[in-house]
Amino acid sequence: MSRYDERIRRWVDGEMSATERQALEAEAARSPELARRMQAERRLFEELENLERVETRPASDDLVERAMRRSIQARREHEQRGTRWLDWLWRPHTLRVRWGTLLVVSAGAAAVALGWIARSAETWPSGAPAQQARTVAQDTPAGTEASSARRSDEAASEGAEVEEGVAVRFTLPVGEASSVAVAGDFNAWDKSATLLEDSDGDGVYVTTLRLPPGTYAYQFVVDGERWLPDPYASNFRHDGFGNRNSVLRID
Amino acid sequence: MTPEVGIISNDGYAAGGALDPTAVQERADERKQIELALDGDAMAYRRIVERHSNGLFALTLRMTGDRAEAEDLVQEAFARAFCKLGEFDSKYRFSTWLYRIALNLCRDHLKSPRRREAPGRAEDVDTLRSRSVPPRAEADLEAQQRAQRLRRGLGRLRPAYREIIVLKDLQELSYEEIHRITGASITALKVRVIRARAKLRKELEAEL
Repeated sequence: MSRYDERIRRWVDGEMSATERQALEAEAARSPELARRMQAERRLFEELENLERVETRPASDDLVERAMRRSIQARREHEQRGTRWLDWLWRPHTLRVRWGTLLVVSAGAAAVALGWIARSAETWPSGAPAQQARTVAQDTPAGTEASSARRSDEAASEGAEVEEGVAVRFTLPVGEASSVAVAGDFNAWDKSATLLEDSDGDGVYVTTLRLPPGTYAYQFVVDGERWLPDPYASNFRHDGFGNRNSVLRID
Repeated sequence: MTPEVGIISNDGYAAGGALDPTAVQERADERKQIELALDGDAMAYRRIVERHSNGLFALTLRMTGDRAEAEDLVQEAFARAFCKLGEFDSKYRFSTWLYRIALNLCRDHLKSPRRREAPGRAEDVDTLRSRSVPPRAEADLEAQQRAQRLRRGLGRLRPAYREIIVLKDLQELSYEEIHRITGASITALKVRVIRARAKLRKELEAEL
């Protein structure tokens, strides 16, 4: 993918402000490659609009009638198979309660639960210290996604081990490649330590790492030897050796 | 590209977003019709079918390129929806749920060896003229040929690429809506649309 791809996508999808559009058009006046790409995109959308015009004939007049006949027949067969009770089970229902009855039942249930807890207290496992859920700084590079860490008090009550750090997903759309890895400060720049996977074969490689707070420089490594900065990163740092590393910051 | 952080609440209602009052009323009416249909009121379900049949036909036609197959898939989608109406969660739009059913049917259909013909089959000028549509002027004929080329190009795309072109560029749905229909993340959809458009451009260039 080229460096213009994301900007052109935003231009096509109407996500740019007027200022951004003007800047893109001004850049296209100076860059033949960008101008060619934008023209190619315009031509593609002309073809899509043409397809729309040619294929705008509506459906047959009796489509609704045929759809209804098939729907009623399908519903009849469905009911005959005796699965209607399942639909009732899954259907949302409005529940009407008497608050007094609800309070009495709740108090009784709470008393039973407290009694159970009191009897079981000496067999509970000790929990891990509570840990605050984290969020990631808003300048996280676009090729990565981060989510809040699971709260460790939930994990402690289950007696499970708590994972440190924030889950960060690295994404690189690279098409065909024999291997894609990410190397950076978090894995001692070992280009074989963290491999990305393209499980659905669409050319987009993905992996998720748990990282503690900090600032990390990183690059992708394609086919074991081609180093690529994150094409979607908004923060970069030169390493003093002529390379431009992408930078990820986690608070 | 705006990075995604954490779980995104994509549904306007859940996030408490402001909504057009007309849209709110339409959804309330639709919920009522769904309730009636669940209790066996066929007329209520007919009103739902009438409301959504054109949109659904547009989707299936764009996915398959064949009118007869598209109409068949529309009927099947409504039949499935009628049987599974109890599973619909009114917190979301009915059209989203219906589109998901239709899209799954399209995917299965396109994988099926029983398909009558591949989409975008090449047609010569005589075949175009012999259709039930009356003979057209030269410009219209050229438009038909261009549409056939694009249809062939679309037919050669892998299913995920064809879907994103149909949903984003032809149906003009938002990424959030497409995310709700397909389950793919918005980031993945944006990457996919870039690649799909590039691939479709290449297919069109190869036709010329």
